[in-house]
Amino acid sequence: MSSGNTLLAQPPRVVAVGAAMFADSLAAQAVPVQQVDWRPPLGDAGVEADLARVLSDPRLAPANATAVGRMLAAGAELVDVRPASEALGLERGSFLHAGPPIGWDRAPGPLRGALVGAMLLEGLATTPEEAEKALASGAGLSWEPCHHHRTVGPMAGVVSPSMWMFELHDPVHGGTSWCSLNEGLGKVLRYGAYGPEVVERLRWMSDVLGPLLQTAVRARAALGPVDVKAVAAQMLQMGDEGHNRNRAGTLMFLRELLPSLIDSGAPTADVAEAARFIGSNDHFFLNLGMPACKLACDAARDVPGSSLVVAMARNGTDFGIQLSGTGDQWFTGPANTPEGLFLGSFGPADANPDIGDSAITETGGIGGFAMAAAPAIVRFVGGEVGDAIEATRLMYEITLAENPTYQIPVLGFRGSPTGIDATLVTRTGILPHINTGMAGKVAGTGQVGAGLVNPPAEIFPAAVKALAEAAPAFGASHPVGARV
Amino acid sequence: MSETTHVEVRRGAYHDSVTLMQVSRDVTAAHGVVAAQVAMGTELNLDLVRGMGFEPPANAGPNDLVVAVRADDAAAVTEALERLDAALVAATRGGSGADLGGDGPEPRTLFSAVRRSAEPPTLALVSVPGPHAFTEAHSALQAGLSVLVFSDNVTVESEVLLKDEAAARGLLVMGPDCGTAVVGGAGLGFANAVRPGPVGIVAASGTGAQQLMCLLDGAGVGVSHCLGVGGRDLSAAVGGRSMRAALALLDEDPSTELIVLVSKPPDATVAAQITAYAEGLSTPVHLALLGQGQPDLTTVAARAVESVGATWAEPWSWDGQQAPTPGGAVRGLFAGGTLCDEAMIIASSQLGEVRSNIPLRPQWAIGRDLHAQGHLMLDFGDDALTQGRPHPMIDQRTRLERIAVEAADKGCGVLLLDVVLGHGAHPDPASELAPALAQAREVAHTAGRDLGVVVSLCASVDDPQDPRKQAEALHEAGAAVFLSNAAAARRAVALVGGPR
Amino acid sequence: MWEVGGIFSDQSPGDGLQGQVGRRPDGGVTVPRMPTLPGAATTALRDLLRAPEASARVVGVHPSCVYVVTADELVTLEAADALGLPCSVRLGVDRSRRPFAGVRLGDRAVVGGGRVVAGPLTIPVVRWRLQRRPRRGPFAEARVEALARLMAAHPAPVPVDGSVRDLLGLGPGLTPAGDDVLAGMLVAVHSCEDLRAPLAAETTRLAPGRTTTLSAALLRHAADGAALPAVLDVADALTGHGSDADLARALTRLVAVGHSSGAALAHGLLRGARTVAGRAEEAA
Repeated sequence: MSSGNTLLAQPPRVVAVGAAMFADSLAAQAVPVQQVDWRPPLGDAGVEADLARVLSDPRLAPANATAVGRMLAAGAELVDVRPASEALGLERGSFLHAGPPIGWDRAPGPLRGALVGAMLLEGLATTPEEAEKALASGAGLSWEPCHHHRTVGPMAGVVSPSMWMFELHDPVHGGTSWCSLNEGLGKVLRYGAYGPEVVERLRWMSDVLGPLLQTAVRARAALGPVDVKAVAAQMLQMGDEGHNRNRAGTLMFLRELLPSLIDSGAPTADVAEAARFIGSNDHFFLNLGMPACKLACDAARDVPGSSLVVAMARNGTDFGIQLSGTGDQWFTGPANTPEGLFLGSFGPADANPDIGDSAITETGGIGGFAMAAAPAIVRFVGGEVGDAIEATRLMYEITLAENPTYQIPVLGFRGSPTGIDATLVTRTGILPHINTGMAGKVAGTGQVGAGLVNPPAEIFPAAVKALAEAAPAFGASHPVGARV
Repeated sequence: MSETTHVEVRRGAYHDSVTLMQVSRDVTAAHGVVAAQVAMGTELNLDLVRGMGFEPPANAGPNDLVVAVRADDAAAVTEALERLDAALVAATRGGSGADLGGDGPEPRTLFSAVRRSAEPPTLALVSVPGPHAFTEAHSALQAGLSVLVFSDNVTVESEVLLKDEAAARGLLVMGPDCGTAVVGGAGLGFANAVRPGPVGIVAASGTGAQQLMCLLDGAGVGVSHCLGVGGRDLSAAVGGRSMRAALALLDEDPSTELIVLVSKPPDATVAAQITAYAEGLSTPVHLALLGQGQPDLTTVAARAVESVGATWAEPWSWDGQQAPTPGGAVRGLFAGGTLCDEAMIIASSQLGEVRSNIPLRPQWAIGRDLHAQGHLMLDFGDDALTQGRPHPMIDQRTRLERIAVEAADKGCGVLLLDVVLGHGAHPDPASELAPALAQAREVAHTAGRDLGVVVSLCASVDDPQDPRKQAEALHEAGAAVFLSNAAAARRAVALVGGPR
Repeated sequence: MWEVGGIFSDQSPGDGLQGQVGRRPDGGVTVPRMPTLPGAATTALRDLLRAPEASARVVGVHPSCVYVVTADELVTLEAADALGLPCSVRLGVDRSRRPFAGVRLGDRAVVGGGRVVAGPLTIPVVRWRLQRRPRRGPFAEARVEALARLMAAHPAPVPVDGSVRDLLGLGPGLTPAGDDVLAGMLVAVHSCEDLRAPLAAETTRLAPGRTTTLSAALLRHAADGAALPAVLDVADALTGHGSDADLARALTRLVAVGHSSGAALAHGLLRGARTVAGRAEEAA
C-alpha cells in the first residue's frame, strides 16, 4: 500500500511564503529555499473568503485550462469588409462605442464628440449643436458597447451604420469579429473630432476605401485569406507590440493585400489613394490586431467557473472587465489617466482618462504584455529598455499561459504572457500594464500624447467576488468531521 | 523680459518620434521656456508647430528636424538649445540597455517560484497571516507540494478542505498552527539540529516534539523526520487526517525503524481510530498521549531509545548546591506550552493546586492579572499573551519582567523556566536570562531569602546557539540546568519540600 | 555522555553568493570576494569532518561539483541540484548560481574542524544528512531478469566479467568504466558479507596506482554501500522494493549518468545480483 507521497524520499527543497525568517533559517541550514514576495491581496476584508471559495472550486483549474487553451488556439483570418448596417445589422440611429455601457451624462468629451461626428456622417443632424441636442435627449437614438456585438473599436470606438468594418473569422472555433477602418492620426473621429474634414474623410472611407478593400479582401480570401494572427506574430519580432506600435504590421498587411488591390479593377487613382492612406498610417494594423485578439478572447468566453479575463475596455470614464465564468457581467471602476509623454504643448491637465477597446490586445497577450518586443515604448515614461523587459516579466505573474504563437525575441523567444487570471491579479496586486494613446479631454482636441496605464485595482476583487457567488459554497464537498 | 522665439531646421538628422517626444519634454522643462517642439517635419508635425504659434521654414520636409522654442529671453533660448543638444546626444548613445541577467523580479506567487526552479521543490512553508493562509496552502497543493502551515487563525473548514485535497493528491499538510518539523535533517520553523537516525516523530505539539528529539539526540539516537500535524488535527472535526497521512509516510520511509506519536489526549473516537491505524502499520508505533497519569516525555524517550537497541542514560544536567526553600511556591515561566503542561502534571501530583493560564483543571485558572499566591505556572506562548508581540522563544521581555517581579515576592521559593534553543529561537537567550536570574537571586538574598532557580534546557548539542555555553552561563548565574524537562520539574518540586 | 561542543564551526554561514565574477582579458575569471556557503554533510563523513583540520587538494572542478581529496579520503562538494554523489557536502544553492566559480583545479583545500575549504570557498557544515544505503532483502529473481532484459539496450562499455585486476582503471576518464562496474557490484553484494568483504578488500588493495585517486575513493564508498541515488534506486528495485515500473524508471535515470558511467554501474549491479543469486542456489 503506497501513499504515493514522495516528500521523504528526496532531499527537501522549499518554497517559503510569508515571514523572511523561515527562508533565512533554511538557507543557513544549506537547504535550497526560494522566498515568494508575498503581499496582501487587493480588496477589502471579505476578499480572502472570496478567493478561498473560488480557489477551492474544483471546476477552477480545468475551466481555466479550457478557456486559456481556446484563447491560445484561436486563429484570425480577414474574410471580408462590409458596412456595419449589413455586417452588424446596425440600424439608423443606432451606434456602437468602446468600453462598458454608458449614458450621455457620464460620457466623456471624446466619446461625445465622436457620437456627434457620427450623427453628422449619417445625416441625422446638420450641425454639431443639433447633433448634441439630439444625443442628449436620446430620442430615437441608442448606443451600445461594441463588445456586445462581437466588435471592438479603438479610442471612442464609435461605429455607425455606414461605416465599413473589417470582418475576421476564427477558423478553429468558428467565431467572427469586427472592427472599423483606422482613420489615421491627428483630428479624427475616434479622438472625438467632428469637423468637416473628419466627416469628409469618413465619407471617402465609406464610399471609396471600404468597397475597394472589400473587393481586394474577397479576391484574396478566395486564394486564402490574410492570416492576421500570423502577421501579428511576425510584427512582434520586428519591434511592434500591437497596441501602440503597429508600423511593421501595417506594412506587412499592405504587402499581403497590394496585389489584390491593384488587381481590383478600381480606378488607379483610388488604388493609389488607398495605398497612400494605409501606408502613411502607422496604426492602420491596430484595427486588425484588435479584432484578432477579440476572436481569441471570445473563444474563451463562458466557461463556467473560469477566472480568465476575456475583455478589458474603457469608455473614457469607466474601465470595465469581463470574466469567462461570469458571462456578460461588467465589473467597472473609474478609468485612470495614462502617464506618459505629451505632444506639443499639451500636458496632464489636457488628457482624458483611459479610453478604447484597444486593451483587448493586452487581454489577448500582446500590446503592453509584449512590451519587451518594443522597448522604445517604455521611453514614453522616461524608463529604460530594461524596464520594458521587467514590465513584461511581471505580467507572467498574473497570466495562465505563455503564448506559443506570440514570441518575444529578447526573452529568448519566450511566449508572451497570455490569459490574465483575475484571482492572480487580486492576490498579487500586480495590475495589467496597458500601452495606450491619450485623447484630449475636450471633444475634438485629438491625440495629446501616449503612455502607460493600469486598470483601477478594485474591479478585480469585485470580479472575484461575483465568481465566488457562482461557485459552490466553501467546504460544501468536504464536511467537517467526516471520515476520510 | 522680451519673449524670444527660435525656429530652425536641421537637415539629415533623423530621430524616431518617441525620442523626440522625450527631447521636447526635456526642452520644455528648461528654465524660462514657454513652449517648445522638436519634431520631424511631417505635415502633421508642421501643423502642430504652427498651432503653437511658430512659423516653420517653408522648405522643411519630413526628413528634416524642426526645432521651435519660445522662451522668456535670448539667454533662455540658448540654454534650451544646449539642453536640446545634450538630450539628442544622450538619446542616441542609448540607455542602460537590456539587463537580461538574473530571473527578473522576485516571484510574487508560489506558482511562479515553482516554475523557475531548476529542480522541482518538494515542500512549501506558509507563514502569512491566518486569513490568507488557506489561499497559499491551497496553491501549494495545486502545485504538487506538501505544505507546512505555520499560520494560525485558520478556520476548521479550511483545514479539513486542505487536508482532503492533500489526501487526494498524495501530499501532506503539516498544520495549521504547526511550528516545528524536521524533514531530511532540515529544521522547519522552531526545530533543533539533531542527527539523522531511526526514530520518526509525528507530533501535534511543537515543543513536545522538540523536547523528544533533543532527548533522543542526547542519547545518541537520531531522528529520521519529525512531522507536525497542527494543534487541531486530532479533534473530532478534523479526525486525525494529517496524523494518518504522516504515519503512512513514516511507515514507508526505509530509514524509520520506530515511530513515536506525541500529542495531548485527543478526542476519544479519534484516539481509537488512530490507535487502530497505527497497529496496522509495519513499523512499530509508540503512542505518547501526554497527560495526567501518562508517561512524561523523558520516559517516552527512554522507551524509544531502548526499543531501537541503544542504551538509555539519564539526560545531562548542570547541577549545583541549591538550598531548598521549603514552603515556598513554585513559579513556572514557560515559553513552550507542552513543557508547561508536563511540569504542571508533575508538580501538581506532589503539590496539589497549580494555578495557570492553561490550567489542568478549570478551577485552577489564574486571574487575568496572572498573579496568585502559591504555585503557578504560566505559558507565555499562549495566544492570549502573544497578541501583537513576538513569541517568547524569540523575544524574552515578558519573562524577564516577570522574573524581576517574582524575585521581589517573598512567597516565591523557586523559579522554573524553559529555555528552548534551535533554529528559529533567540540567538543567545542566556545573555539576557543569566543576568536577570543572577539579579533575582541577589534581590532575594538581600531580603534574606533563598531563591531556587531551575532551568529546563531544550537543546541538542549541534544547535546554533552553542548549548554548552548557554548551560554554563545559566549555571553560573545560579541555576540548576536540566536537559530533561521532567527532571527539571521534579527538582523544582523537591526544592520546595515535595518528595523527590 | 552529552557531547560537549558540537562539531559545527564558530563561523556563521554566509549570506549567499555575492561578488560579481569578472572576466580577465586572458579569459580567466576574477572573483573579488567569496563568502562562506553553508553545507549539509552525509553522516558517512562525520568522523572525517570532526577530526582536526587536514590539508587537502582540489582534484576536480565542475559547475555542479568539486572533488577534494586528503591523503586518503575523498570529499565531494555539490550544488543543491547536483547528482547526489555519495559522501558529499551539499550546498543550499543550485548550480545556476555558480557557487564554485572561484575554485580551480589544484587549489589548496582543508577538510576537518567542522568545515571544508576549497580555494577561496569556505563551507561550514551546518547539518547532517543520512547517507542512504541499499535496502535489505533478497534479490527478486523476476526483477533481476527484467534488468538483464532492459540492459540489452545498453551494451557494457567494457567487458563486465573480468577480475578486479582486469577491471580496475579500465577506461578513460576520471571514473573509469571498469571501476564503475566494480562499484555496481559492491553495492549489489552489500548485504552479503561473505561476498562483500573479499571483493572490497581486493579492490582497496589493488586500487592505488591502478586508478585515479577520485575513483579509488568512490570505490571505497561503494564498498560501504554508499552510491548515487540512481544506483541505489535500481538496487532497491532489484530487492523487490517499489513496482516494476519503478525499476524501469530508475534504470533510465541511471544510464543517463555520465557518458557510459551509468551503463557500467548498471552492469555491475546486474553481475553482483547474479553472483548473490548463484551463491543462494549453491547454498540451497
